[in-house]
Amino acid sequence: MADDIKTNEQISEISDLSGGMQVASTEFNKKSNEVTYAENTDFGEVGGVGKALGYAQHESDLTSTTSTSTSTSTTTTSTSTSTSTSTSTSTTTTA
Amino acid sequence: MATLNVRGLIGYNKADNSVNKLLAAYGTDIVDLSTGTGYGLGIEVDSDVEFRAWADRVFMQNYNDQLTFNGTAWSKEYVGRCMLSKYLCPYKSRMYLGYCKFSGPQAPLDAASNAIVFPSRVFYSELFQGTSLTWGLEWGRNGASFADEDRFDLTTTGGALIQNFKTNNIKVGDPLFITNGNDQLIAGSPYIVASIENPYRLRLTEKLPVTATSLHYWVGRNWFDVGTDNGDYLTWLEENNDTLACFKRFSLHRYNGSSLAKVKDAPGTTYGRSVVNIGNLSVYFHGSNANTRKTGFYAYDGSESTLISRAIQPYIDGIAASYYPSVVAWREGTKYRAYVDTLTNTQRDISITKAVCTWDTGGGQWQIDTIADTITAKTTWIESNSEKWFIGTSDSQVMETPSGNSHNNENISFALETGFLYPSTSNIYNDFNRIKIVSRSAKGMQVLFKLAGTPLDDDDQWTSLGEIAHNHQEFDMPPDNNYGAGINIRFQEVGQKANTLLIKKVTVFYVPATSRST
Repeated sequence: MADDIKTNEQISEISDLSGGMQVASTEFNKKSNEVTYAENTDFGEVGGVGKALGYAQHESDLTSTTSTSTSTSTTTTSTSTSTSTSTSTSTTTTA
Repeated sequence: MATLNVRGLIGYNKADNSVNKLLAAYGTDIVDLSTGTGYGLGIEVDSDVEFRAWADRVFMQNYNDQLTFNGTAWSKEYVGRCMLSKYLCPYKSRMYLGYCKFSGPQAPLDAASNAIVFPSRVFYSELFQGTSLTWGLEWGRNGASFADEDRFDLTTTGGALIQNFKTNNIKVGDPLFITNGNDQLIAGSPYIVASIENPYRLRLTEKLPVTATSLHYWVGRNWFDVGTDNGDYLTWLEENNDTLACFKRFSLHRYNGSSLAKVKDAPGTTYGRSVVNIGNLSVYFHGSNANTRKTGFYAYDGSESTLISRAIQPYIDGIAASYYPSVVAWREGTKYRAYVDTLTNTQRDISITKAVCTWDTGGGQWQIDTIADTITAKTTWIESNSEKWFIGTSDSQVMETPSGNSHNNENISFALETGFLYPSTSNIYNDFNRIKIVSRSAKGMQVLFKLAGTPLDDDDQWTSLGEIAHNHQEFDMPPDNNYGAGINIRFQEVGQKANTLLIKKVTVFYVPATSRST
């Protein structure tokens, strides 16, 4: 309310906080919308600063696995007269 | 249970949509994330594993193994006779390999019987001929020369013949390098192929001076050098603006399919996994020496490379030099995000662990984030018709990012500092009465302040004003701590608050008091 405004009281507004971090210059040389620290922020909404999204695990932890997938390797061995092809299925315990 | 680095990631979406897999290199295998099972590949365990999806296959290289995946099985399809490499990149219908060495068996040795490696050389494939892909390259330890004859034969010495000059597309005019087995022939190399008489015999443009067997050799011209023996080496290949960007540690080059040009005054990258394409830019990290101000993030637009991280230079200076070869970056929408681990700059009172430098290409904003994991790999993958980004960690996990309001169930730390605001210039000291915050969904957010010029010093510590409880809220300044020339306001919150919160506006109410500091 106007009655609350003290004698000689003035205001200074920051209505745009979306300039991102700028700490390469002194505070006297940065743009008015630049900030000196922004951690896990989001500047997507013009003028404002929100909180960034996080991340979430996809599927389970990778672990030592016993492979059940079929691995087929084809090796071509050339001689002047013959070509051989071999196919193998492996079950392997990996680290 | 011991945890390991995720050593590589690739999202694979087959063209006919019959296979959509997210694959991770882990331990000695490549694992299908959806089943948690591997393929029993037994790949070398220490190197980064690099993947590229190309020709409806996944191509994999780790400098020790080379394989392709067709959606069902891993095999040597397309890579039976090509170089081992640390890096690979498709470009203009060919696959390019960087930082290469020969694969066994019969990898040729040099004159001193050391392995031959090409840290600055790029080898590339032929174009597809139907469903056949060759590399225009052949090598072995079974060459034979004949005095005063122009023929160069392959022998079965050392086992069955695995070479085939015709099948592997050796061409007239290709150079033949003899690298071990006869000093006179080594000194005379390279010789030039005049004809390919049969799969196991070349005719050369000159007669060879001596008869020798068990010659180590390689033949082919599908390669180019990116600077020769200059102490620098390749660290990544990436397509950029219809050219192939060849990153070395200290230099950057572009190849257009026929010629190579060095990008003027552009540093390369100290770790290829920091390279991310966003729009027409390849954004990457270079770390060399903080004192030269060359260490930082760069954006290459196909013409020149520009240092873009000057705004956060004190934080860049805090990246440990030991971590320069480990900076992994990924893309989230328009954002470039690079995991830089620990930041320490005591002069600027900076000490942050598990830090991520984030640059939004949309607005050019920088920020320094903290996360809960060490990031070792990244990829994109299309799942349910939606392009998604994934990152691998040092503890056996793969994360979708961005997703949710936590760092895999760990709280997210949010902080914002306005920097010192001098409402009456730094020459006028004020009585700060109150601060008004206009916000949305920010309940619980802490508001703190520091004063500058009080009157002779600046505050060292933040003073709390309390927590935001309403969208339009005023905080009264403490009467015994409200005198200063400037004020810095900090917002902080640690939790899993939905990211709908927004700080919209800050208003400082003050009364100018005096221009005298004493």
